[in-house]
Amino acid sequence: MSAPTLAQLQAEFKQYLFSGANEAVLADQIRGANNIDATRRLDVYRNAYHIRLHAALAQDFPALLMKMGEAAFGREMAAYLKVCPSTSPSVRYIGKQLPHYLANRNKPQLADLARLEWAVLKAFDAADASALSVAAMAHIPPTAWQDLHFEAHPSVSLLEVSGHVFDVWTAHRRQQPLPERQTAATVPLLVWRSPGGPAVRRLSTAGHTLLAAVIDGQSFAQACVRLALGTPPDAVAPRAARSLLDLLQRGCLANTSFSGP
Amino acid sequence: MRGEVALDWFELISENFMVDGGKPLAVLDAVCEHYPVALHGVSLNLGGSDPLDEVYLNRLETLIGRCEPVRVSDHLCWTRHGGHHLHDLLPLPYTQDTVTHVAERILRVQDRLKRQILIENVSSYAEYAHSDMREYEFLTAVAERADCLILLDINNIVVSAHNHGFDAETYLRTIPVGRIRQIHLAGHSISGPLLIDTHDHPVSDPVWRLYAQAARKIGATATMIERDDAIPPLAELLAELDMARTLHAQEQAA
Repeated sequence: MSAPTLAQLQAEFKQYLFSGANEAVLADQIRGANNIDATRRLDVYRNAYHIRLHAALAQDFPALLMKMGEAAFGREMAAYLKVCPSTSPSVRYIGKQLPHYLANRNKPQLADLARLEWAVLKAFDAADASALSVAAMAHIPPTAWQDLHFEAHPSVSLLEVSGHVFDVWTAHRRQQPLPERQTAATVPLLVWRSPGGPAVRRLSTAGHTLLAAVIDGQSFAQACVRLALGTPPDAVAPRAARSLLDLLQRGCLANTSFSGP
Repeated sequence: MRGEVALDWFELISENFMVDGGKPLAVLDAVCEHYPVALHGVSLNLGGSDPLDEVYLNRLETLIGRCEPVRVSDHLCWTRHGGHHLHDLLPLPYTQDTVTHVAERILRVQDRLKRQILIENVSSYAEYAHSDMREYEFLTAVAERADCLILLDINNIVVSAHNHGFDAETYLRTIPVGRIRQIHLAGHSISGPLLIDTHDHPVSDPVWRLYAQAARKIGATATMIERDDAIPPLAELLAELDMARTLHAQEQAA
């Protein structure tokens, strides 16, 4: 039998780590020295691969783990890793496809929970940017507000998840028993990096509308038009102002641009 | 992080700082302000058959620019295939063809980073039937051919020597000691007939003994104790580090 090429050997080894199905084929390439047979030696690598990646997923998605329970989480993650093996040099990104994977598996609540936990991870190490201050607003000429565009801080995510998912996430964070009662209505959530670390907050309808407009690249005026739908006319300006102030005070806006002098 | 801990330098896992911002980079900047740092990678895939990852090298280059490390290292192994990262330090066949392949990749990396890198010997649990040299001969051949430096992991020598039945002292006698710029010490665990490099135990006696021999042979070398799990209080770790310093001083004086 001729020796395999490096690429053939590595393809075989990878397949073994993923599924174990080709164990006999790979074991033929391994020296069983010191009375320790090849399969026992290979087991060390296969076990380590699964334990390491399972531990990383458990660390990144602790509320999901709590919601599913150890056994179901373990089975789901094993299946996930078969479909979505790592494509990043850092194990930090091992869970990147998990929300999408769970959604495709028709598990919308688990997908929502994974999406929320992934957004929290993103907030942790997203790019740095100077937050736009409330004081900076004073320098914007009144005529510029019509065309004013804001930019969300890189750590910001806007999510809509079921109320139950937010309740589960909150209970996990507070180390409380998970809620049984299902709340079907969706809630808009702001995830961002506060000075103390990643933070999650439920948004008001106006805050949701404003942030969605910012993320979509719309101007402040366009955001106000969106907000006007379903809002009493005299409430639009105060609600827009209050929501803008809230985003500014939390450091969720990074930049602003407008045309004119 | 004002230099008050009795440490001479920090080793940072490169991939942990290949992020866009936030706390990891703030910590990196704070460490770099007060201590020299060494960058230690786990995913360069020097022994892989996939092409070298240009995106990874760009990030590593950026990181080097940010923290100006005193050393840059990775492992003598493979970690990725077909675009999939396996997040483990997987064994290479010890053949002349592999020496040529890996040395050429190290040369390309060194050319790209404009510096010599250190390659670390890994713990291994399996050797390939078609390997026709010992691990220490392989490490020697790769280092000489690539003209690179070595990060010698004493625990990994003890673990691999046990698992494959070679003599750890022969390992130390064979490798080009003039290329060693850093030493790793660590603990391992026992799993039936195999030793496993788990970094969750104190440094074992066989590792201390081999370290003493290495210290005599190599001279003053930056030494670090790896501990990834079951981490004891800092005082215990610092006591272990003091043990390394004392052993080293004794061997130098002998």
